[in-house]
Amino acid sequence: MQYGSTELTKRETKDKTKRGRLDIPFLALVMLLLTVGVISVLSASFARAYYDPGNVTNGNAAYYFIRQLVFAALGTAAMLFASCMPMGFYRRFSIPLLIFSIVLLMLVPVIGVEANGAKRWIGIGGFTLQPSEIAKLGIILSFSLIICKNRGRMKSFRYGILPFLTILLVIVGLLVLEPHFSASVIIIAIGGVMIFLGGARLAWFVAAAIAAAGGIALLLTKFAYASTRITTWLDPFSSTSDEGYQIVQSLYTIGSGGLTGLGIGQGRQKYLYLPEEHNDFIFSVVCEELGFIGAVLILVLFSLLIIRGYWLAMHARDRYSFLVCAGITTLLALQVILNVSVVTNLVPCTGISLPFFSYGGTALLIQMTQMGIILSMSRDIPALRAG
Amino acid sequence: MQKSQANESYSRSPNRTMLRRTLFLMIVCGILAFAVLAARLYILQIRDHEKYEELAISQQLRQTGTSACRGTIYDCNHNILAMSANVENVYLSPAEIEMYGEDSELIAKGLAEILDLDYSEVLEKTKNTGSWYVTVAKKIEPELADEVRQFKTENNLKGVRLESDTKRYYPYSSLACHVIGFVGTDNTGLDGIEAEYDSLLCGTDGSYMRATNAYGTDLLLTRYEGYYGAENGCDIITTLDLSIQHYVEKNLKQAVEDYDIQNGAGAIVMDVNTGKILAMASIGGYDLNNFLDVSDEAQSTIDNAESEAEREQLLADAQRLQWRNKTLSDTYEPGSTFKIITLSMALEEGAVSLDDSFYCSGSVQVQGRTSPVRCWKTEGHGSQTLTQAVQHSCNAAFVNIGMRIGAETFYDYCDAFGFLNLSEDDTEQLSAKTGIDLGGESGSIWWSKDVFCSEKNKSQLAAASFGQTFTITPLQLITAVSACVNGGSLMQPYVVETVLDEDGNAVYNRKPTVVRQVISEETSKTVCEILEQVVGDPDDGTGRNAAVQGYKIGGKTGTSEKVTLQAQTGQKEYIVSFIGFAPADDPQIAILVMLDTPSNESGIYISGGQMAAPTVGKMFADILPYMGIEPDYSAEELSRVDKTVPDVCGMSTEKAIARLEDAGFKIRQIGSGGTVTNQLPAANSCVADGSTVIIYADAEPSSELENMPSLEGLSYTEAKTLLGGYGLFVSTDCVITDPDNQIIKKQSISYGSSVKHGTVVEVTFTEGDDMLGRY
Repeated sequence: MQYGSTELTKRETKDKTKRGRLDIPFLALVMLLLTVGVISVLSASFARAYYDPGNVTNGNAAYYFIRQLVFAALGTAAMLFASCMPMGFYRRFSIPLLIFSIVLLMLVPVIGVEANGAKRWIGIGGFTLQPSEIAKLGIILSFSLIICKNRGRMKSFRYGILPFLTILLVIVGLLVLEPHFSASVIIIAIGGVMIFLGGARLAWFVAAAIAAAGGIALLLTKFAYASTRITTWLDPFSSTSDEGYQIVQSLYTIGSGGLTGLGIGQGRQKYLYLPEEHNDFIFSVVCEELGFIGAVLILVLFSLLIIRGYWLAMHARDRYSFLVCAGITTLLALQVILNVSVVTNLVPCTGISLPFFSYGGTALLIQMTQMGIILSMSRDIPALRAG
Repeated sequence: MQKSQANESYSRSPNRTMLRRTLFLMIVCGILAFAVLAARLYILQIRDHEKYEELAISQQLRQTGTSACRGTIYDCNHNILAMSANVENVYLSPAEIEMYGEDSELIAKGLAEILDLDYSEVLEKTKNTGSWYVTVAKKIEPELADEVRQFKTENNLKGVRLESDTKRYYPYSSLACHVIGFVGTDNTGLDGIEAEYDSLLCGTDGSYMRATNAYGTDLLLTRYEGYYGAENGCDIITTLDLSIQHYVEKNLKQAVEDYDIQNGAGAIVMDVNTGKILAMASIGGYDLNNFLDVSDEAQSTIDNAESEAEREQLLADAQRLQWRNKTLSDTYEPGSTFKIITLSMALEEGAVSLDDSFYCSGSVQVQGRTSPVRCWKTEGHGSQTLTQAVQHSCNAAFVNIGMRIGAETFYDYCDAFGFLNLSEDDTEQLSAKTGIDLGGESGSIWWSKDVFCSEKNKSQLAAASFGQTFTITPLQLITAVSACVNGGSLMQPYVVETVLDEDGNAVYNRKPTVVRQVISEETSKTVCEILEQVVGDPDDGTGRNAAVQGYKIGGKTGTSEKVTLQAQTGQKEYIVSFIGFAPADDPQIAILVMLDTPSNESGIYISGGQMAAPTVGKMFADILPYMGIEPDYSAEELSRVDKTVPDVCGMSTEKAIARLEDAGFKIRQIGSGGTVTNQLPAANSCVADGSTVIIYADAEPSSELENMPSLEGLSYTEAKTLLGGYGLFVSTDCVITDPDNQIIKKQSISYGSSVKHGTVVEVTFTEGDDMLGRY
């Protein structure tokens, strides 16, 4: 006992004083994507910023770009800072962060800022924050912690499903109130993936899939709102809804790119034809300007980042780090895949931003912090195995 | 202990299940999903690239510069009937006015002043700051547009904008309005040729394209522009002849005035051998340049209306009425003019011959009718030949002829003449159109075959023989009558001859279309001869008022009762008409005039012969010389113009006077002797008929000289009277048909010369003065 305890103390001391190097390939991929993303914001946003139909920018074409650039710098600092914090720090703050995000979500209906018929934002100073973004990280961190605690009991319903399901129901319930459909989907998916990685029985997932299918069927038959989304998805060209217009414009934009694209800054659809061109639909502009080749290159960068993320997770020194790293990587993957699927009309239209690309300061800060957490865990990977 | 256990639970390495499941996620989320996305991008960007690019470009590109020029419409002599000219529209972009902080009061004041608009209205428009396009003035002339442009430049206004547009002009305003038609403010044809040939006339807009943002202003960095050659619209050459159209409208208007026509009138001039419409007129017309404006009369009725709704209704009705082309949109019972058709089929079938005789007692009993069919001449025409029956327009004779033809044959011929479309179903009411290349053509209405051919009831056949109980359009009648006189071919009427593209190449060239041969050439010849007697016989012919000196004209009168109207309201109203063709021995053109409802107050006996026939005659008198068809005067006709003065010197005064009066001269006697010692003008001089010859009985002509007066601008009769006062005489070599109205152009002895009494001055006449110069 005594011996073991000494060993542990030693190891902890070692952790604090001398950690390994952070993972350079992962860092390089993040910085590369961030750079391309910020340039894309400039290209995609200057037309709207210049014409300024919403009276936001005062005609300053670089308005969105400058702000995004500042946040990219802040985000890089946040990432580096996060990478310096030991994993134990995150472990300790897992549950408090979850509770904090739930409190924020409960505050949204009270002090939230309304936009497009939904209350999803909270204003802090001159900035706005989506509590759902924090909730996503809260879910990953806290689920990782609970899975570690419930080690060996994950196959039971009581320990393997119930606590997670309860947390998810609370958060999704709050998101439905906003309403925020896409965040709900992502949070359910990320929660499910965490449980999946934690070792829950596969039978539960089969059951969940059947329940989800039934739920979607119910949603489609009972709610006109949902079924119009589906008809818009199936045939956007004959739809008169805003989503239909958005999707049609997005398809025009992507299709115009062709093999090699129109060149950076040379896109035409961003001239107020394509809505949300520097937010959710920024990838369409990228496709138009960089063409099939450029778009696929960016997808390859994302793919490499995600593979590297999972690779790091598989080499994690401990289970908690593994779960957090795999969770954050999956969250990133889900965002990218869903965003590109929406803009190419593979799935019905919903509002999901593209990590590192979409304009939005606080979201970028949180994303970069998440990357920092992965970098932090990468430092703990024993050098021997880091090959 | 507890702490270490807890720590252990975090520090344990992930187990095999976890690693397996991570690997699964890595493959699904890291590779497979991205493969699907890349495939999707391949479909959108490579496979369907062109489709999306085209759609995107079509929304990004804006046309500026001029839109395609709409084609010109010409008459057959290349006179312009309709043309487009460049104009400009002025619009505001209130959003930009606000964006650039421009002075909206200055803008409103400036524009109101230049464009003569209401200041407050323009100011109101500048306040609509959500919009980027608010129209201020449409289709303004280039000079005015330049003023606006100057105002814009001087004040550096971005919110005031101009765009080019075209405007349609019709140089002859109302002439041939129903055939030409008009275009709406968006330059699409709405009526007539403008509508029927719109796709050819309008051309393809294009010219200068540039990529713009969704608000239509220039892109910031991207320059994407190109010149796309606008394809201007095709020019159209119609079969109309402006001069003929003018003669027709002039005479038709005169008729409407003279006979107090209540319900409008219509006239068609057709080239009988080709089916070309040379002129087509409908009264009342309207000014094509202001097609929405109604006549003053209609406007005053509208102004007097009680409510706004009523005013709108009245205005819409008046517009519809003035736009209506009576000659092809109105159907009517043709009445006796239809006897030409009955006559033709009877001759073709051999049911009658020129030697047949027909007895008319004033009425005739028809099987199936309670009352007998009355002839217009109640006491009857007595015994008459076929030609006389046509000359008299004898209903009784034609009932007889109809019976001889038989209902089925009659019905089949009506089909062949294009009045109905035979169908399998005998109980169906039949209808047909000529298929002319103009919109708005109505179809005829005929009894179904089983009613018409009923064995027990011959009343339909009897009435149809003289053109009642069915309705057709005037166009159908003239088309069928043309077939009767042109050698038997039914031609399809048309108004557009050639369509030329921008470079003058014919893209369409209409050839006359023979629908079918209806009667033989021989029959047709006989029909012409008989019909010539209707006009040519000055005593017996009901159409004698259509006669024109020097020309052989054939034709037939018609006076039809509006039977249905009478049945409904008890009012007796008539449509009087006349259809004529000339020259009767080699028919070239046919003219149909129909006058709808002459008023009883005109004082003229309501009949086609009294009203429509003279109108057609006047049209022929104008048109035939214009067409270069030389008049062929009989000696008798010629002598009515100039006469040779007989030699009366040496005769006794009484004898000389008698001789001169016989020759048609007036006499002025100087001196009171018993014998004529001298005469002015000299014997055998040729002078105007009815000139005053001076005879000197034992007196000498004075040797005084006279100053020659100016005769230019006078008529022959006026000149004769004027010169008579001076003891001078007028004669001409020109063939004149109307000494009262034809105008002297030149005189052989110039104005102011001194001449002796008795001098004969020769004059020449303007031949068909250049009527185009008068517009």
